[in-house]
Amino acid sequence: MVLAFLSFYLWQSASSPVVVTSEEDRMTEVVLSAMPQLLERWQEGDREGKFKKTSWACGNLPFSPHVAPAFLKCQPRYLECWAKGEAGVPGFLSVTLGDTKYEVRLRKSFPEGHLQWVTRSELGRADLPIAGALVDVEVKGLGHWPMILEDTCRDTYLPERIYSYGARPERDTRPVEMMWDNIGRKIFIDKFLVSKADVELWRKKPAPSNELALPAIDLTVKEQEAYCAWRGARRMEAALFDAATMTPADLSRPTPEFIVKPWLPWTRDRRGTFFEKALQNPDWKPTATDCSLAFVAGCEKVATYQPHHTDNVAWSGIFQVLGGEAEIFRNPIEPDHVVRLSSRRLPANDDGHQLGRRVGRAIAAGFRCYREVFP
Amino acid sequence: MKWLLLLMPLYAMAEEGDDWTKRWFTVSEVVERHEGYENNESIKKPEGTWQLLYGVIRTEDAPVGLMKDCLWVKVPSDHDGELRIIPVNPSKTCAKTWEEKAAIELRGLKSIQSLQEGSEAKLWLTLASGRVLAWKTRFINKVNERTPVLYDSSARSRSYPGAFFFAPNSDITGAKARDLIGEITDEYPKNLCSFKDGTCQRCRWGIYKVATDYFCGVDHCGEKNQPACLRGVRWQRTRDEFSCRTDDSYIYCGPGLRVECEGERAICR
Repeated sequence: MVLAFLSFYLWQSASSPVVVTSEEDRMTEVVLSAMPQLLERWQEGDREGKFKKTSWACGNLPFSPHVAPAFLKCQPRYLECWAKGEAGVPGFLSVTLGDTKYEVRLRKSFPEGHLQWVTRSELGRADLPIAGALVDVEVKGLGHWPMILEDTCRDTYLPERIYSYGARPERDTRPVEMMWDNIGRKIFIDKFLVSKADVELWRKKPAPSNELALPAIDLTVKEQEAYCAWRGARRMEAALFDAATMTPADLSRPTPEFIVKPWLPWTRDRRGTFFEKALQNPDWKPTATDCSLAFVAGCEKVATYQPHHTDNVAWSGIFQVLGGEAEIFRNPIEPDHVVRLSSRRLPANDDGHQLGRRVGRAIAAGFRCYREVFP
Repeated sequence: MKWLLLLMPLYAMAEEGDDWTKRWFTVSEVVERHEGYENNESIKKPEGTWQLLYGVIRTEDAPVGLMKDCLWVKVPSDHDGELRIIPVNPSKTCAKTWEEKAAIELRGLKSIQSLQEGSEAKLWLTLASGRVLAWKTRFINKVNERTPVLYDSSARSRSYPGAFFFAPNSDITGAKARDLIGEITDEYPKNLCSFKDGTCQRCRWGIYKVATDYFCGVDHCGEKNQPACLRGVRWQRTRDEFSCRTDDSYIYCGPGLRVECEGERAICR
C-alpha cells in the first residue's frame, strides 16, 4: 500500500512542477493585488476632496489655504495622514482573493511613523529610485513587505525639439536670442517650484506647518544646487524655462526653420487677456479667475496664493510660470539675467509679465530643478 | 520511515528553487543575454560546454547594494548537465566566470530549458530520475526601457510602475550602502565615469557630459574653467563625433569667455 502510494506520488511529481505555497506567497499575492489602489492613493492624493477646513483632522498636515490638490500628490505628509486614518477616508485597502477578504495597511515601522522619505543619494544604492516614500506594507497574520513608492509626480518631459532662448523682440527692444536644441537628450523639468515641504525633507528640519506648500525662497544658490543634486537633478536653466513655456507653433514639427515666440504661456495672442485689460483700464482689478492664471500684485485682495494651482500651466506640463513668487535660474547665456521678472510683486499692467523677461535679482525668489537622464 | 527519507531530496530541490526565487526577487536588469538559444527550447548544443544564459543585476540590503549574478549552464551530453549561479562584481562581465564560487549549484541534469521574457524568468530542469523541476521568478523591479513622451515623468518604468520592492518580510535597517561615488564639491575634470563599466550608474550627485565623456557631479557648463555648454546637434557642421578642434559650432560659453580645446573637450576660459 505504501509502495503504491509512493509510486503514485513520485509519478505525479515527475510530471508536474513543484509548487510551493506559504504565508509569504499568499502575502505577496495580496499586496500585489492591492498595489494599484496603493499607487493611486500615493499618486492622486486626496482625490475625494477631504482636505477642507471644517472636517480635516490631520495634525501632521494641518489645513492651510495655500494648499491646492496637486500639493497632496506624492506628498509624504498626506500619506502619513491617510495611514493614520486621519485623511477622511479609510486608512487601509481592501483586497479579496478567493473567498477571503484582506486589509492591507502601512505598518508603523519608522521613527517618523508609517513612512520615511528616502533618496538614492542618501541610501547609497545605485539601483534605487531617485526619491520616494519608503513604506512597509502589511497584511495582518501573513507578513509585511517594504517598498519605495517613487516620486512620480515631480517632473515632466521636455520633448526633443529646436527651441529659442530669450524674450520675443519688440519694436524697441532687441533681447539676446539663441536657437538651440535638445535632440538626443532626455530632460525632465520640475512641474512646480520647490516647496518648503520639499526642503524640509532635505534639511530634516520642520517647516512652519501653514507654509508647507509655499515656495522655498530662502535658499542661497549653493543650497539650491545642493538640494537639486540631492535629488539627482540640477538647478533650472533659463533656456529650458523658455523652451518649456513658449508654446511651439506646430507641435508636430520639432525642427522648424524659425520660431515665433508668444508673450504668454497659454495663448499666442495677448489681446483679450487680463494683462491687456489692465493696460487699457487704470481702474482694472484682478478677479479670482485671473489670479489663478497668474498671481499678480493685487491678487492677494481677492484670492489666496496657491503655488500648486494647476490653471497656471505651460504647454510642456510645468506650472506656475507667470506671477506668484519670482523664480531664479542658472543662466550661462546671460549670467546677469537670472530672475523671472513676472511675479506677485508686479501689477498686471506691467509689461514685465512676459515670457523670457528676466532681471539680475529679486527680493525673494523660488527655484525648481531639472534632471537629464542618460542612457 | 524509509519513504520519508525518499521524500527529503524532493524538498531539498524545492528549497533550491526557493533560494533562486528569493535571490532573484530584486533583479532590476537582465544583461549579457545569450542570443543563440530560443525561449522554451531545450539547450542541446554545444554539448558538454559551459554557456552563459544571461546575467542579472540584483541587489542585497545595505551595505552591499548592487550585485551581479551570472547564470551558467553546462549543456547536457553523455555527461549530465549542470547549472550554476555565480555572483560577480557588477562592474565586471560574466565572461569565463563559470569556475568561480557558485551561490547556487545543481548537477545531474538531463535537460535544461530556459525562458526569460519581460519580467519573468523560468527554468525547467530534468533530473536523472526523470523528475522535472520548474523554477520561476518574477523580476518585480525590472526596468522597462521606454521612449518618453510629453507629460512623462522621469521615474523609471518598472513591472509595477511607481513602486520599488525590497524582499518580502525583510527588515530595512537604514544602513547605507557604499555603491555610489563622488562628492558634491567635486568639479570638472574630477570623476570621469563610464556607462560601460557601470561607474556612471553609480554617480551620487548626477552626471554631465563633456564631448564624448561623462563625469559624476554637478554641471556648471559655460562658466569659467568649466566645459562649454551644448547648443545642440542641429548646429554641428560636421557629421563626425564631436571634436573641439574640428568643429566647435554646437557648443557655447558665457559672455566674455572663449572656447579652448583640451584634446577633444571644449573648456570655457
